[in-house]
Amino acid sequence: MIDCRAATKSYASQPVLRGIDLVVERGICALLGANGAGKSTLLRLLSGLEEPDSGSVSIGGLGFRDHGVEIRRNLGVLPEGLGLFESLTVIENLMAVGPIYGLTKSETADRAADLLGLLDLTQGRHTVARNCSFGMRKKTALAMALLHKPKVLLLDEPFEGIDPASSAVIQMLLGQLCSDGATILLTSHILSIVQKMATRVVILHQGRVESDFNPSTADEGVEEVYFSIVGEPQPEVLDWLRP
Amino acid sequence: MAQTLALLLLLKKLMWKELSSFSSVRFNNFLFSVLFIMSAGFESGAPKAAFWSTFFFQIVLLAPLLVTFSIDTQHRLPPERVATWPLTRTQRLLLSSVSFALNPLFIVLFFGYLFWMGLAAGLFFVLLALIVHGTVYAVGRLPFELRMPAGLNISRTPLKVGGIAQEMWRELQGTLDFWTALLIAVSGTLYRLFGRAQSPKHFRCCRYSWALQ
Repeated sequence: MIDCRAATKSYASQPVLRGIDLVVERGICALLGANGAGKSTLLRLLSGLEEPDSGSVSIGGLGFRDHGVEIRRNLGVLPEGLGLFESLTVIENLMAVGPIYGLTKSETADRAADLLGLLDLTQGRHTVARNCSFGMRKKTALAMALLHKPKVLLLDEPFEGIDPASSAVIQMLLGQLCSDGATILLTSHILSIVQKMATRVVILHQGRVESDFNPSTADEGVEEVYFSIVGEPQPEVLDWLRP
Repeated sequence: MAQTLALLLLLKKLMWKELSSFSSVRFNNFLFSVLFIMSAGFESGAPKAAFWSTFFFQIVLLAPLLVTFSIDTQHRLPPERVATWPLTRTQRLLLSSVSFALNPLFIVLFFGYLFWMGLAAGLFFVLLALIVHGTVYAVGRLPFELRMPAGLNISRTPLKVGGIAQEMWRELQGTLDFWTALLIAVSGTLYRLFGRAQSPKHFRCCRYSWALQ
């Protein structure tokens, strides 16, 4: 369970999160919001990459300050910057991570092979990370987050830049983990995917939780609720762009 | 233990990868300056004496060079990834320190000092490296961000090339070479103004440094 109480965070005196209260139980919770709404910052706080200025964050009832190692053992993170070892190949990145989480070499190799196969990375497994396409890099980072079968997953935009086939596989994988009891919190701008797979949707606006609902029981769709909060798009053709 | 071993194996792999692609060899002005001073001492025929006579400049040039080595360590180990690993504080410090020491240039410099200038110089280098890396490691974990004083920022310049000048000034602020050159220039000027027994020999090192900067 993810528990965030009255969390605030500012950068250069600019408030990004203004008192976030969020409790996420097992299931897939999607965090939505416009650019700069505070989604990635909130994920950084929840994954222990940063501390809140005030308020508290706990995972499974434990705080990062005193129980960082225990929490991280069961935490899988897809960070905004992906966090790849640029000079290592795709497979080497995965093989490096397994033993850190206590997996044996053969366990890591087996799981890595499975994940690479599912995510269509088998052919490019010997490509050095810095030479991979954006989609390959993201899928590698995602595989690294899933490798140790974490109980809590924090994923920053897992579907952005991913091809439709791999996207479907990722949705299936996350659904499988969720049915095994995992807690998944992800950010996304792809509302159709969120509508399809999320069991809960939280919309952040200007650093605050503006909406929190279950898309399968809500009267309105995710897109309607989202635009009612962040504002309808105003498609206006600029004069100087007209033919 | 298996976890620590895995970390060390990972570092070993990263080092060999870097060595094979030359990506670890990031020459910069500080490195050239240090090598220049070392070679000058070697050519003089009395490298140990030369080391102690240029002690101040060795520190002024080595400290920022070691800072760049320490920062390279962070690039080698992506902070966003390592921060999410279930490691104890001791393991994190070990990971960072071993990664720092496995920098090929660090090893070359250590052996350079050890064989050309003696054990004392070699130990001095290691001690300075430990201090610098410890400081960089600690600063990276401060609960607040260190910022440049607002007075040093140019928000607007009156010239038409204001944007370019502003960009160059910002880049300059973030360049260690600039601050080191400034320190050497100020030290040399103060020495020139207030030094009691000035010797032209003492300026040779400054001249080389300025030329290289």
